[in-house]
Amino acid sequence: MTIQLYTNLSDNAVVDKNITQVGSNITGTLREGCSIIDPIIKLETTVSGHLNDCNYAYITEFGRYYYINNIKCIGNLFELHMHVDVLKTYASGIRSNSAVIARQEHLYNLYLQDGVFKTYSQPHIQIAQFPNGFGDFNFIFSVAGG
Amino acid sequence: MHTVKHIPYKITYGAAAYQIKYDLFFDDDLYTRLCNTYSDGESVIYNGSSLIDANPAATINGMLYSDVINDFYNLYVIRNQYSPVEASADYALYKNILAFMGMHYQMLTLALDNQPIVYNTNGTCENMSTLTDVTLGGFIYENSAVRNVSAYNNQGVRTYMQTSGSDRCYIQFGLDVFPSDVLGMFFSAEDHDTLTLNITVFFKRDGINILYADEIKINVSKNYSYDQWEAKRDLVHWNSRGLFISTNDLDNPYGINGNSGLGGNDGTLKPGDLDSIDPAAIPGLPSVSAADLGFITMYNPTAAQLRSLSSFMWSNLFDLNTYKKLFSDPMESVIGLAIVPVAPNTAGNKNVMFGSIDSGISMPYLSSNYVQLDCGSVSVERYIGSFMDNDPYTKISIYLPFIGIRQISADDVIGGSIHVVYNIDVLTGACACFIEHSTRGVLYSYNGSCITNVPLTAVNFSGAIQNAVSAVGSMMGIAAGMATGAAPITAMSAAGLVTSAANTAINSKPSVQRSGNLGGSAGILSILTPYVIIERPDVSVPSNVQHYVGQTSNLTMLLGDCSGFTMCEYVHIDGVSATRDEITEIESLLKAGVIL
Repeated sequence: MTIQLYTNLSDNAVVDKNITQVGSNITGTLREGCSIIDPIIKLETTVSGHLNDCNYAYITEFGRYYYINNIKCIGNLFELHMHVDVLKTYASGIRSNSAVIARQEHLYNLYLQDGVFKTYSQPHIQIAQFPNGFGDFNFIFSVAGG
Repeated sequence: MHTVKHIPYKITYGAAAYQIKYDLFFDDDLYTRLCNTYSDGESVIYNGSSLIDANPAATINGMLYSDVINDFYNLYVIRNQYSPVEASADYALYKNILAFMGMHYQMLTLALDNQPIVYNTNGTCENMSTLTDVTLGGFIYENSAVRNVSAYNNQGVRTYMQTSGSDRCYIQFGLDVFPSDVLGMFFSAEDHDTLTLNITVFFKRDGINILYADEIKINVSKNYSYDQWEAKRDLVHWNSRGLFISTNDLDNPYGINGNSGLGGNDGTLKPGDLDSIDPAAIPGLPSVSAADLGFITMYNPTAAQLRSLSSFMWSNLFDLNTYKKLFSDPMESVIGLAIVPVAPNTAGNKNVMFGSIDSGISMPYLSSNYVQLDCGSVSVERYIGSFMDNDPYTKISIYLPFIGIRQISADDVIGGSIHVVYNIDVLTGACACFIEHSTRGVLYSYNGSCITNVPLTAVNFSGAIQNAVSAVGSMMGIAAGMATGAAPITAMSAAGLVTSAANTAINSKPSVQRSGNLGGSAGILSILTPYVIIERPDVSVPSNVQHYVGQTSNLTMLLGDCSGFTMCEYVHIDGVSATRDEITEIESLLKAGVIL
């Protein structure tokens, strides 16, 4: 098994993570049962010098990128608790799918109702008079016949 | 199956705030091909009747440019006999408005020349504001007997598309709203048998006065004859002035053909007709008048003339014996004396007659008891440029003399102007007030009374007092109610709104009635010029908020075409070899929002 450890500087919501590999590839043997979604991998201390910079990993055999959620020290071993990063792992597959987009950063229509907007308590009030009005007062005197 | 790409653009330019919005949909293959470059970096010129090949030796995808031309002929034009704009004040402004599309770093860019250009052939120049990302010029249809096509590059130099580098023109799209003219599109599709075009075009001036709105969705083949093109035109839905196509999404259930399928019946109403407008005009005055009949005569005296008349009636000059042959009382022949706030239409002067008795006092008499007062217009402009310009976020009320303050719908009038006209009967004091929208016609009408009767006898006086007391009582009721907190305050309807801080705040605002009825004498004592009160929300928009939460989109898109924050409403991930849990997580994340 080969594991590449990375420093990930991107938010989890970012598909294309900004990752930098830390150290060289780590090779070893999987000696216990392991989930490919939430793997827990024990590493020997020989690689511990890099672990404090690691929050992301790629396991070649699993073909998946992982967030390192926690690192536990167990004797002279470091136990990495990971969870698969489905966005990075399946980025190309995700991009080949269509979806109904509810919100988008660049393609949007502001005339759709949006609950995100906030307003100040004091509204803008515009008052505009019409150019003309009443005011030419006249008497009207009406008589029968005439 | 081709994926259709949707590329919305919106440009605002010029002091008159013209807006041209193009929503472009391109077949995926065509889009890809458009990204290719011709070998010589040149393009084709359409001169109104034929294409000019600037360099026949140029190639694209291994094909000679000269060969491509034939395909242009098969594909380039959807002929349109549509005549969208009648002669109007705005007409000249919209003639020959042009917009062009080009490609720049693999992105379609709607390009307008960034230099002052003459696009209005009556000689006026329109200085378009500078667009920084203009990648190419375009064609200008000149409104002349011989339709010439000119092109400008992005330096504003007139050229025949002798472009270079990234200054490429792959699609030329010319619009001319001159009646019976063409809506022309021509594009390179030399090796593409069929394709789908969906183009929505808006010409808007102030957000609501849309002079030109077209939507085209058409499947075509390069082998179509002209007749086949004409037949295909039936698929094109044309709208007319005043219509607004608000949905540009291909998945719009009110699509071009209007077939909703099972469960929704098959409507026969075309989509554009949903908002069809046959505006009602402000009515003219009645053609017959009480003044025409001879049974009564209405005078428009001055105060001095009335004083003279009063002196005459109570003097010895008044021959009571002669008068009594017709009436038992001198006042019986007097129908009334009133004060009106408008100048009546007079026809000349004549002596006031009481039966057969000539008072000898001459005063202007009325040719008609009807008068029209035009109060003019006020623009109600959009401010925010979003849904908040409409109800219930923007609230509009109007004060109308002799009627009071009335609420009008922002949906009805925003982006246009409102015009107030009163039709008045000076004999009875009845007035009908019409609020006319600049394109939608009369949307509101109210009635009131604008006369103050002057009592001439004790009976008249007691009646007038009674009327005045009733009116004041009515007003006092309103005032007292407001003072005691029982004012007619109604919470705004929240139906149909999404829950949000903004909505909650807006909906918690009371709607306060600002006036009661202001008819008769109370009206004359009130403000006599109408005015409009527009209450717009003051929106707080954090900087770059779309990066964090996006903006409302509601489009069906290929996720690969999205960049930045993207939140999906509905998504089904196919073609990914992930576990079910992973696919569920992907869909969950996409619905929560990801950054592509």
